[in-house]
Amino acid sequence: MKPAPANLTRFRPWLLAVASLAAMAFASAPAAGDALHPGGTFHLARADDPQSLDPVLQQLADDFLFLSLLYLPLLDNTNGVDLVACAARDWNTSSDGRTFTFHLRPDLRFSNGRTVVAADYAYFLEREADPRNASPNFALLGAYHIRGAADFAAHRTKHLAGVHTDGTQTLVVELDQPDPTFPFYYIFALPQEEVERPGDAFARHPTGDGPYMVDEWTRGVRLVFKPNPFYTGPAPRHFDRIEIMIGGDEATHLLMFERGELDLANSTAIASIPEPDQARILRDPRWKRYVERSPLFAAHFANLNTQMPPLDDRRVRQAINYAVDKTRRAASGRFTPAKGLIPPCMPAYNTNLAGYPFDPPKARRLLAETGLPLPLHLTLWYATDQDSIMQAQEIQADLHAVGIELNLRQASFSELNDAAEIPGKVQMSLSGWFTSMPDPKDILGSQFDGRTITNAATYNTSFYNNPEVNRLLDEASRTLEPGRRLALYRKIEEMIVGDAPCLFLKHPILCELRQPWLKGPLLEPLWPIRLDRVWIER
Amino acid sequence: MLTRLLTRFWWSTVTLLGTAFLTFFLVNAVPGDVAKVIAGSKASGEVLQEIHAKYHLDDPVLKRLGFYFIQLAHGDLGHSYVTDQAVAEAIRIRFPTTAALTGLAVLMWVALAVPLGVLTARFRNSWFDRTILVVATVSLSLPSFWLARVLQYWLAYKLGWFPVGFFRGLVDLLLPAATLALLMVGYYARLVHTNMVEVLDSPYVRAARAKGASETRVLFKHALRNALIPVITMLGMDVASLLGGVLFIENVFALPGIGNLAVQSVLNLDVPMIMGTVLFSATLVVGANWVVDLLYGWIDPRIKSAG
Repeated sequence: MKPAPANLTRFRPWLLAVASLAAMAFASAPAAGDALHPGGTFHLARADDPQSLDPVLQQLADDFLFLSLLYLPLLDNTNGVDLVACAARDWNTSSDGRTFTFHLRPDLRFSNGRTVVAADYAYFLEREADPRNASPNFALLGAYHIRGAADFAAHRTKHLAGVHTDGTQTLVVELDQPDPTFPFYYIFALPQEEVERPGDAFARHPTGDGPYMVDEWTRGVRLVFKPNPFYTGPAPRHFDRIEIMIGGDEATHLLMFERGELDLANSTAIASIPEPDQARILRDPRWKRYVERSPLFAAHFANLNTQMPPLDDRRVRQAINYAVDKTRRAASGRFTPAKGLIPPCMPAYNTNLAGYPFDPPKARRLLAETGLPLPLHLTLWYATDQDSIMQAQEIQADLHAVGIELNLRQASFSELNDAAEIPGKVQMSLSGWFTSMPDPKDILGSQFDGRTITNAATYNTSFYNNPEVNRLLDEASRTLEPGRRLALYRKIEEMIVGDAPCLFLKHPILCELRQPWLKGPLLEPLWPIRLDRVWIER
Repeated sequence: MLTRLLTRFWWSTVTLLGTAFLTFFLVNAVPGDVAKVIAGSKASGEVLQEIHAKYHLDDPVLKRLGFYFIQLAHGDLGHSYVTDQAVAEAIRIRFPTTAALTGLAVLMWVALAVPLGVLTARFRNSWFDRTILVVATVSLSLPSFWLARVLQYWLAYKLGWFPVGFFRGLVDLLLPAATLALLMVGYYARLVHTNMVEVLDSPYVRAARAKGASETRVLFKHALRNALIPVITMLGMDVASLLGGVLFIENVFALPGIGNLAVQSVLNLDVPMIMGTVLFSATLVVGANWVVDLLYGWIDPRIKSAG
């Protein structure tokens, strides 16, 4: 996929918001259109329950669709890039890019009837910042360096020093260092009295200020939402009821969809339309018009452990990149071959990045230059899902052609994660990264900061450490001027691609199938499926 | 009889304890960190530490096993690591689906297998017998996931005679139960056939015929009752095993049963849920043994008097 100039245009409003250093308020702009399309029951099937409906404990992009039904974030986005006010009436950023002030809508209420106040957002942030709550978002929030977060996490203070309220309608968040991406961090309101009620009442029937509330949740069987009677949010509510049946696999869900029993074929950001059925669906005149695609802010790659021979030789890593054909299966439209790490739909995407085109002769030349005896023997670890299996076999075949014998080692997701973090254990491992913002800070900073390789739980499983990259990562993350920031991240990406700590593979594209009667914008690159924005029109 | 039951009880307890030991050690031997399953791949070191502390994941395996047995002694199967749901509650929610599916399937396959077995024994070596033999062999050889998918595609998706999947009422179980019954009926028809052939050649059946009993009375009153003893043994074991989860059929037809729960728990390395589902299945098998023992006494009074 070519980078879309339109995306760059869309990127400007939020970067300008920072760069202008002015207190700039954004008018609210509901994402799903202003018209009300009431009524009907939305039917969906999923293989699994969401892990949790508590936003502090939610970890998967797949589960975000439930959060958008139950809670209103302070700020939301359209198309993954443009920020819009949601629970906040407006917001502004201080001139130094460290302080964010959010003014709330005065009329928001939780599903228990209580008015939402600024302290409810402060409580949410404190729950996420306290490691005792085991929030999967703890590290992500930590990367924003909220003032006093370290002391709070170590229980030296009772509250987050950098989070305070000004009356009931204003929330102020102060960071230790400037960060223009903070508005993309989703901040929800949580009613402390409900969360801390004894037992697991909140986990089963969470209380939020979103358009819906949980009517019934029988784990493993069904999850049903009904309208929140106190909802006064900015976007219209469309359904009378949302029924999600839990169980089965994607093939069964597709059959049910084709018989009209479901409104959406699938609801996961990874599986979308089952690959074996895709060609049939795209040929079928009934359905091909209703296939919808969206690129994702994500990259798939294979980590190459830069500290383990022979992968400690950059030429070997580059040879691997030249040897593998990344365009194979690209005609399926389910991914874009990768030249680097930043996805094409992200504003910082570098159209001039050459990457590693498929060039086996060049791979052989590079291997010959190393003087290493061929064949080289390497081991690739990969997870048990179908895509990983196919990918691993393709890499094995391509590397065999240039004189590298690849031993395939299949492992469960948790075993793979565990092993990859141990220095000197895993030579190569299939991996990927879904970013949580339309900015390269997350994907580049999390995976390639060499100072994190000594952490017990590091994401840098290539054990890549380039001091110049580390320095530039620090500089880029603090840079507010949009052009300079993009230039820095592009430079960082070029350096990383040159060092080839990964085999750069692909950027996934979500491929979804909807019923003709399901209207409204459904997919976006950041939080892939948005049920709060669609409606039924028969 | 009482001594026999007490001995049974003793060995049942040993079996269940052994199952618990074995499962616990096997699950803990699986590489991987459950904390990462709970908190996700982006979790920080601090969060992983908190989860380890909360679930005592850094304690020695024997110590954790000790805690688990103390918990079991209090009748508590624990809570899921991943969802925090009580294991007993998860099983209670899932069991009715598996039980209904199994019950319906048993009714279907017994209703088919017994008459087929009796008739093929009565008309042995006829074309009817040979046809049923071929059909039974084919049914025995079919992979369950394949048959389930084929029936789902043709009978539910294409023809619309049945719902494609999920459990909203008993109607939704007809096709899954029929699938399961088709997979089992061949074996049971042959089992009834073999035992009937043996019994039909026995002296007391010849005596019954000599006394002028009708063929129907000979087949169903005299012969079948004795031929059913080994069938009931197998049925007890099979039903118990199926109640522990009908894995592929539950998955294809999206039925929220014990089998699906067990598989999901294994994928999540959810130790309390794995232990709960395995112990539940083991208890069912042990319980089925007891029931079969009692049924033996009812069907064949000689066994009761011998006990």
